[in-house]
Amino acid sequence: MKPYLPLRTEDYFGKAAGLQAPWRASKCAVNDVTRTVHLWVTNQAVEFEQRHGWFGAKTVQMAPRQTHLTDRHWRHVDCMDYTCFIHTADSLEPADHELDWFGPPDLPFTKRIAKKIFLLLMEGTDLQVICDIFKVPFAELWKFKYDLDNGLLHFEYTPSARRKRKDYLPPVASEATRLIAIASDVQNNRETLIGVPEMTDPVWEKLITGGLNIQIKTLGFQLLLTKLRQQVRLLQSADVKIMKLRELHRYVERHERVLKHELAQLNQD
Amino acid sequence: MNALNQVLVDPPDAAKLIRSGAYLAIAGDEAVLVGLPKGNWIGGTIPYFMARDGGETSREKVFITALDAQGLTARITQYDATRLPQVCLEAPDNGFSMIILPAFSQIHFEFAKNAPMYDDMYLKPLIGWVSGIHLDDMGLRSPKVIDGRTGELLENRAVVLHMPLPENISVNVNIVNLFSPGSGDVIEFDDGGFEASTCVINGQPTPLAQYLRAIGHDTRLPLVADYNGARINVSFKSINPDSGVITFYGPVFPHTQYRLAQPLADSYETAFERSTAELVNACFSCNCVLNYLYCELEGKRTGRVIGPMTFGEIAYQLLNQTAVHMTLERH
Repeated sequence: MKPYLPLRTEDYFGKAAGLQAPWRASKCAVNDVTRTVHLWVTNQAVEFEQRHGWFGAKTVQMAPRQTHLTDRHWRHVDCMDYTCFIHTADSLEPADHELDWFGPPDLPFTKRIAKKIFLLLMEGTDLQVICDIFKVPFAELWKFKYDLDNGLLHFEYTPSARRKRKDYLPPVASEATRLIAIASDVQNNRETLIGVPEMTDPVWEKLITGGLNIQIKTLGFQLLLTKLRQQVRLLQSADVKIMKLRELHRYVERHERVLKHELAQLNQD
Repeated sequence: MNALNQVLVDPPDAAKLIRSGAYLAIAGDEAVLVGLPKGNWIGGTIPYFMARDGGETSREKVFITALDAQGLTARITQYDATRLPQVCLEAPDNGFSMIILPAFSQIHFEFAKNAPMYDDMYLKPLIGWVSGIHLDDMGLRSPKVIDGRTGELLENRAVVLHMPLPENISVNVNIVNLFSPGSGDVIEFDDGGFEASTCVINGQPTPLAQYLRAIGHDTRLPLVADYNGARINVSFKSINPDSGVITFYGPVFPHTQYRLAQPLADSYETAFERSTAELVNACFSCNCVLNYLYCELEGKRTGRVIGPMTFGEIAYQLLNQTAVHMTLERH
């Protein structure tokens, strides 16, 4: 029969970290100087032993056995003002790396924090802002984005209502909006005819997938489009493709005044 | 707007310009650079220049590019390899950043391989060059960059001058690449990097060194890839006949189709003059030391494109055997 033992501090931290059985927290350490919480996680069953002392027998929980030579750790979501790290000395199966409280072997974040970062990236949040929010070094965040861009990581993304309104207009509605805008431009101001097509315009998808080729005179645009096309070819995720489309649109919007030649072709399509 | 602001001068003239408080990029021999006063400048070692009077090798003179801040304040920053991916994020919203990297260093390789993936890359103009050494000093000295604010010589850091510009000025970055892909086979690489032994030619894995030997290719002619109209070179550095390993001056990238460049129809300077006839004076330009050496440009002129002859040119990403040319346009 399993003896009754009250919850220990590490058990509470384990719950807060989102651990699910058979995974449990075996140890925790709080460092007030560095303001960090370190939580050791294992999936070894709890073992008990009876120890006999001067005041009779006592049931104590044994420490998990060390099964992996090196302690591996990942940065997890913060525990209030304290930065949280999840450690394990267990040997992990490939599927274990998919758990929310661990991360891939070469990623410094847990899956949970990676999902949050991915969400912010998809919402168009600036990298420096993400670094500030999660207190992560820029180099680590950049590597994470590099892996995403090159199809080495995959996450699902459900756009926020605001983002849906901005990016996910049905193409037909968007096309109709564009035609109305063009018609009104003809009447009012021909200059705006070579404006930047909306983000939802199918022309961007055609351009980024190579379905549309235009003559590009601007070096930055030539190099960016080459990179984005290569990345889109490699990507498994439609979500990351949206991120790439946004990158393309942002470039053209920003350089509108020097891209007249290119925009004239995009608006003809 | 694009004044004649690039000039090869003696150190006393350079010192005068530095003391005026101007923002400068300076190329010269290490011994000369360390003797210059501190100020708003970044520099890199190189003794090869294309001056207005023609190509010149000098350990005594320095080539100065004066960058007009248009009344705004520029910022000089050093980057190590860890921080370098932030370089474009830290660039001004409107303006440009000039970067100088020391050749053959870890940061040079980091930039060469990963720059296209940096955030905000291509969104904000990044131009510059890779410092080098006199070829007689190979193995004796190492390429360096210098932070003019402190006079610090750096072997494994980049120095960057972030130059903001008023909203009504835009920056145009162009390249002049005389090499065009020949009509030969399509060459691809499974893995990117500065060296390769095998490649994929027309879909078939092939030892590259053997292939080049078989077709009698002159390795002064680079590999050329078409980046949506921009011709981007990768230059050959060496071929090890025993191992068959080929090294390059810049990295090859996977999923990119290369062809070997065709020989130039004219002399380099004639072809260059023709391709740059319509270019206006640049506010910054540089060219490749391989063009200087292979095309024997000492004493010869290359039109309006002057500047240091470098161990790598940067127009957003690292380039080889290419001239970089930047102009400003007022709207």
